[in-house]
Amino acid sequence: MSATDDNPSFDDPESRRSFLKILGASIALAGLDGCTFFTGSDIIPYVTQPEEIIPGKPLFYASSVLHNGFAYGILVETHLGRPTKIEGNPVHPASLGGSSPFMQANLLSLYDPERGKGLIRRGVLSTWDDFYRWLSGRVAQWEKDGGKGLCILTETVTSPSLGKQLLGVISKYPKSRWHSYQPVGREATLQGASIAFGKKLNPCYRFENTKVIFSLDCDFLSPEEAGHLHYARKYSDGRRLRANRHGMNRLYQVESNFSITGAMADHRLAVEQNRISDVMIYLAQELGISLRAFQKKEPHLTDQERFWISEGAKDLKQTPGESLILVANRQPPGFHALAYLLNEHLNNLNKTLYFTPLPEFLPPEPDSSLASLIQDMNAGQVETLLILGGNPVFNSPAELGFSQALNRVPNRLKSGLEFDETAFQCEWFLPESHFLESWGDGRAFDGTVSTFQPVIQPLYDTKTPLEILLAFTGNHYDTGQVRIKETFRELTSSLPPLAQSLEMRWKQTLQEGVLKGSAFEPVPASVSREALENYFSHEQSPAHLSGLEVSFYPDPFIWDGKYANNAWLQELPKPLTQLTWDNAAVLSPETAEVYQVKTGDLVSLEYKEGARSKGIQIPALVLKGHAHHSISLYFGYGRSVSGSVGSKKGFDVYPFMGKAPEQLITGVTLTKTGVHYPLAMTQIHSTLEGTQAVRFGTYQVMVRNPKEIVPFENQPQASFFKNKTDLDPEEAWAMVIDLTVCIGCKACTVACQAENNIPVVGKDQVLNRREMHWIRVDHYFKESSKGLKVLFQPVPCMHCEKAPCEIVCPTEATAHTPSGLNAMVYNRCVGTRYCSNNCPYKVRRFNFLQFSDMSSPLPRLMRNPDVTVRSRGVMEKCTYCIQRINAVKIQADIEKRSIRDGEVVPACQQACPTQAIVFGNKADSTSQVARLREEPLNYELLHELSTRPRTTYLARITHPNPKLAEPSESENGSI
Amino acid sequence: MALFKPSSGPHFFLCLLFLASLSACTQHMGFEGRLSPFSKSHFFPDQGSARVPVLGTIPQGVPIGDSPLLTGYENGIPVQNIPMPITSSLLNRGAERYQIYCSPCHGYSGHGDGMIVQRGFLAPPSYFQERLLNAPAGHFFNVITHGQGAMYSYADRVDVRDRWAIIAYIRALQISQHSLMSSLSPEQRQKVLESNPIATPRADNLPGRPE
Repeated sequence: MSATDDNPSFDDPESRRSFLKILGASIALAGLDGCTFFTGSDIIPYVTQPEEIIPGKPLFYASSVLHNGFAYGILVETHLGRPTKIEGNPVHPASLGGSSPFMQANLLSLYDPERGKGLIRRGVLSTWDDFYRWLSGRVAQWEKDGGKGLCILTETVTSPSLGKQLLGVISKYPKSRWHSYQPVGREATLQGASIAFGKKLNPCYRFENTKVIFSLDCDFLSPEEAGHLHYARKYSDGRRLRANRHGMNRLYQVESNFSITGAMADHRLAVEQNRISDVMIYLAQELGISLRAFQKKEPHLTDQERFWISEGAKDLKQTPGESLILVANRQPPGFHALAYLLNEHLNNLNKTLYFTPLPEFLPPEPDSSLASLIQDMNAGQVETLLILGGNPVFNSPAELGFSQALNRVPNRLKSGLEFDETAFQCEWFLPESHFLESWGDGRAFDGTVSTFQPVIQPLYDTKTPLEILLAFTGNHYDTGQVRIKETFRELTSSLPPLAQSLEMRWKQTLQEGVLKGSAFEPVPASVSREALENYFSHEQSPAHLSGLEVSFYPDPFIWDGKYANNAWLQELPKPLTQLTWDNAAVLSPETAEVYQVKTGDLVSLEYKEGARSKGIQIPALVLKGHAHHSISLYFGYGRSVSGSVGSKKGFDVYPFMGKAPEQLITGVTLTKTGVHYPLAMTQIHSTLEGTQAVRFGTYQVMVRNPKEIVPFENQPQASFFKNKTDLDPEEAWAMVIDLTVCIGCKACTVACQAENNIPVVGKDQVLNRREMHWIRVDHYFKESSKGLKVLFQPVPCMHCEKAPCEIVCPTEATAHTPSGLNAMVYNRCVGTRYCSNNCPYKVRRFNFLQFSDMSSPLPRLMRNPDVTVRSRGVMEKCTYCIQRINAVKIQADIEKRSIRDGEVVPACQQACPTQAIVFGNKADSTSQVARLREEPLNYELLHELSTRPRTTYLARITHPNPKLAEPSESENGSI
Repeated sequence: MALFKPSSGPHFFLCLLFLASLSACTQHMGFEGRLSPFSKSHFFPDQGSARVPVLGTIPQGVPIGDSPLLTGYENGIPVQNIPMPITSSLLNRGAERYQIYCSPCHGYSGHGDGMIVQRGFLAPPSYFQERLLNAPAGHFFNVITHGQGAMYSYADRVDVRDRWAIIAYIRALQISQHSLMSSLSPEQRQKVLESNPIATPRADNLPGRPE
C-alpha cells in the first residue's frame, strides 16, 4: 500500500479526532474521567508592589559573574524578584551578549539545595555573631602583634574592592601574608611578559584585525582564556561568509589534545606536549629568529611537520601586522616571551597583540605561591589560615601536601558556596553568598570594571567574601554595598569627569553593568631580546622520559571541580567526546591500538617520581586527532565532599599530578585492568559514513563555485506528505545556523535547558539514550590525507513544513501552527513515541520517568514561569522558544505594529557567543533569516527526505593554505 | 509501504485511551513545577514567591536621573509646572488614566466624591480647595508616587509619563471647575449653560455645582 497526498486514509474525518472525541465522551459518562483535583491556590501579593515590577513580565538586571577570577557581564532575567535565567550583557566587552555554559548554569548553583546555608564550627551549626565574637579576640591580638601567623589564601582576585581590602589587611597587620592559588592560572604567561618586558603585563588580542593566527596549544575559544567570548566573536567575525563579503582569516593550531579551537582550525597539527617547544623553536627559525641557546638544537620534527610549520611561517610573514602567534598558559614562561618576540618581529606587537596593566591583584610578597604557603604551614608559622573561596584540599596537586599541612594550622577558616573537602578539614565554614545575591565588582580580561548587583535577597544567612574579609579588620558592620560604592567613587576619580553627578553615574553604571571607559589603556611594549637570550641560556629544558606523556586540563564544564554539584554542567556533553558525568583518559586511536585498549576500558597509569611511584585508574576514551603517545587527563572530577550530584563522580586526577597542574608528566606506563567502566556518551558514532548530513568545503571552492559545496537547489521536491494549506503567508518562523562559525561550545544546549525547564536525567539514563537536551551539538570527523576535519552541527527541531512526526501522532498532540511551528500539545500526549520513531532528525525527547522534580520548592523558584514543566509520559522538543515569540507578539499587538526583525530571539541564539544562530520571519523578505536562506551555502539537513525543514544550515567553510590542502583542492561536501 | 494502518487503529486506540484515562492521576500536568505570579512558595517564611528587589539595585529599562520629570522635584522643591509639553494627546491619555485609577475615589470631576467614597470610604480632598488650586504640579506627582493619608502609592500602576498626564488632566479639571464665567466669551458662556441647564451663575460668578 502506498500513501500519497491524495490517500484518504490520512485525513478521513471519521477515522481520527472525531473517533477520539466520541470515545472520550463515553468514558466521561462512565465516570472514569474525574481525576481533576484543583484545590485552588493562595495568592500572596506584595504589601507594597515595587514600581518596576509588572506581574507576568520579566525584569532584567545587569550584573556580572566571575569565572576563574575574571568578570563577564550578564543580564539576569527575573520574574517577580526571582532570577530565572542568565544572558550575556551586550555592552560588556567580555561577553558581547554571548554566554559560556558556566554563565548559564550558574543559575542552578543559586538554587542548589545543597549549598552552604549556615556557619559550621567543628561540624556544629553556628552563627555570625559567634564567629564575630571568636574573631574579635584574634583581631585584638593581631592589632598588638601585627598579625603574626595570619595567612589568607585566595583565588585570582580582580575585584577592586576585595583587592583593596586584602591589601588593607596586609598593611594593617604587617606580619600577615596573602597567598593566591587556583589550578587554572596564568603565572607562566605573566612571567613570560616579565622576561620580555621586565614587568608583568596582561596580553590581549585583537582578532578583528587578524588574517593569520598561529596558535601553539592556546585554546583561546575555551574559558581558559579570560577573554574567550570576546575572542570567539571577533575570531568568527573574521570568518563569517556572506554572498557580499569576501576574505577569511586562517588558523593554524598545534596541540596534543583536541580542543574546540583545534576543531575550528584550518590546519591542525597534533604533536605531543613535549614537542610543542620544538615546534616553537622551528617556527622561530623559519621566521628568521634564532636565539643563541637554540642554535645547536635540532628540533625533533618529521619532514612533514617541518613543511607544515614552514608553510605556516610563510603565511605569517605575508601578513605583517595582521597576524598573531599565541601560546597556551600551560607552556613554560620562556616560550611566551619568545612568542612576544616573534610577534614583534612580525610587527604585530601593539596591533593584533597588545598589553595592558594586570586586571588581577597580585599579592605583594615575592613568593605568594601555594607551595611557599605549605612550607610555612609545615614550619608551624601559620596560626590562622583564612581560605577565601577555592578548594585547595581537593584542587591542589596532592604532591604538594596541602591537606596534611592544613592539619598543622591551629585556626582554619574556609569560606565558600558549598561545604567541600577543604571546609571539611576546617574549624570554621563560612557560607558565601551566591553572586546573584551579592554586591560586588570585578575586572574583565581587558580591565573593564564590572559591577555586581544582587537580584534577590540572600536565600540563606550568607555573606560575600568582601564582607567576611572586612570583619578581619574589626569591621563587621559595613555592608558590601557601601564598600563597592566607595571603590566606585575612587575609580571614577581617575576617569575623565562627566557632566552627570556621581550618584547618577553610579546608577547608570549599575544599570549597564559596566563602568564606561574603565578598560585599561594599552601599554606600549617592546621585547628585550637580550633578556630572552639570557633567560634561555640559563634555562634547562626538562628531560623527557620515554613512555607515554600525560598532560592535564580543566574539565570543560566541571572546571577544577567547582561546578561538580551542578547537574546541568554534569550532563552537558563535553565537546568532541560527548562524554557526560565522567572524566576519562583521552588518547589517540593509534596509541590505543598499541596498548590494545578501547573506549571504556579501565586503565592503570603509573610513573615514577623519584623513588615513589604514582598511579591512577581511569577509563580510556579513544579520540581521533589526539596526538600519539600522549594522554590528556581532565581534572575536576572525583569530588568526595560535595552534594549528591557532585560527590563520587568520575576520577580524581589531582593525586596523579606533579607539582603543578600545568606540569607535563612523562615516562608513564599504561596497563589494562581488564575492567570495563561504562562511559555515558551522547554520540558514539562520529563519521559521516558517506552520507551528506553535513555540507562543507573550502573558501577557494566557494569562491569558484558554491554549487560544488551545496549542489542542489532548495526547491520543493515531490513529497510523501500533503501540502499544508493553512500556513500564514505573513509569518513563517525559521532558523539558520552558520556552521562556519559554530565553535561547538555547547552554550546553546545549556541555555535552552535553563530557558525551557528541561530536566537532567542522570548517568544511567544517558546510558539508556534518554538525555533530554532540545538542542544537541553533533560533531563529525572527516579524515583526509592532509589531516582531520571536525564538523560541528547543532541540531534543534527542524520544524519541518511536512513534518513526519505529526502524521503518526494518534492524538494530534503534535500539530502545526499557522506560523510554521511544529507545536507540542503536552496535555494531548499519551506517550506512544510514534513521533520520535518517525522523526528523521531524532530531536524528540520523551519523559520516560518523572525527570522533573515538581514538588520541591527550590526548583520551582528557578523555573521559567512561561514554560510548562512536563511530566512523565510526555514527549517534548524544541519549540523555537514559543514563549518568547508570544511575548513579542503581545507587545507588538499592544503597540499596534508588526514584529520587527530580530525582535524574537530564542535562547540558543541569544547564548551563542559567535552569533552562529539566526532566527526570524522568513516570510519577510528583508529579514536576516530570509536573506541567509537565499545564500548559496544554505542547505537543508537530510534534504533528500523533502521534509522542508524551517531550520537550515550554512555549509561549513574552511580556509586552507593551498600548499597544505588536498592537491585537487576540491574538499567539498561530497565525500 | 504502510507506515500507518487505519484498519488496526480503533482497537489499539481504545486500549491506549483506556489506559491513559486510568493513569491520568499520575500525570501531574495540572500541578506544575513552576510558579504562577503571586503563588505560594513554601521556601520563604512569608510564603510569598514574589520577592522584593534589593534596595539600591537598578533594573534595565527603568529611567534613571534626577530631572524634575522623574522626581517631581527641582532643586529640592516640588516643581511648579508640568515638566513636559502639554498636548491634547497627553490630556486624553491623562483623562483615560484618571478615569481608571483616580475616579473611584476622587470622582469624575475631582470633587472627592467617587463611588467608593459614596459607599463610605474616607473622602479625599476636592481639587478645588484653595490649597490644591495653588499646589505645585510636583505635589500631585509626589502624592501619586508615594501616596498620602489613606491613599497608597500608585507608582506600580501609573508610570512616570502617565503621572504627568494625569496631573495635566487634574489641572484641566481645576480650570473647568474654577473659571470665572466672566472670563468666558458670550458664546462659551451660552454653551456652558446649555450643556448644564441646572447650573446657575452664583454670586461670585463661578459655575455652580449641580445640587
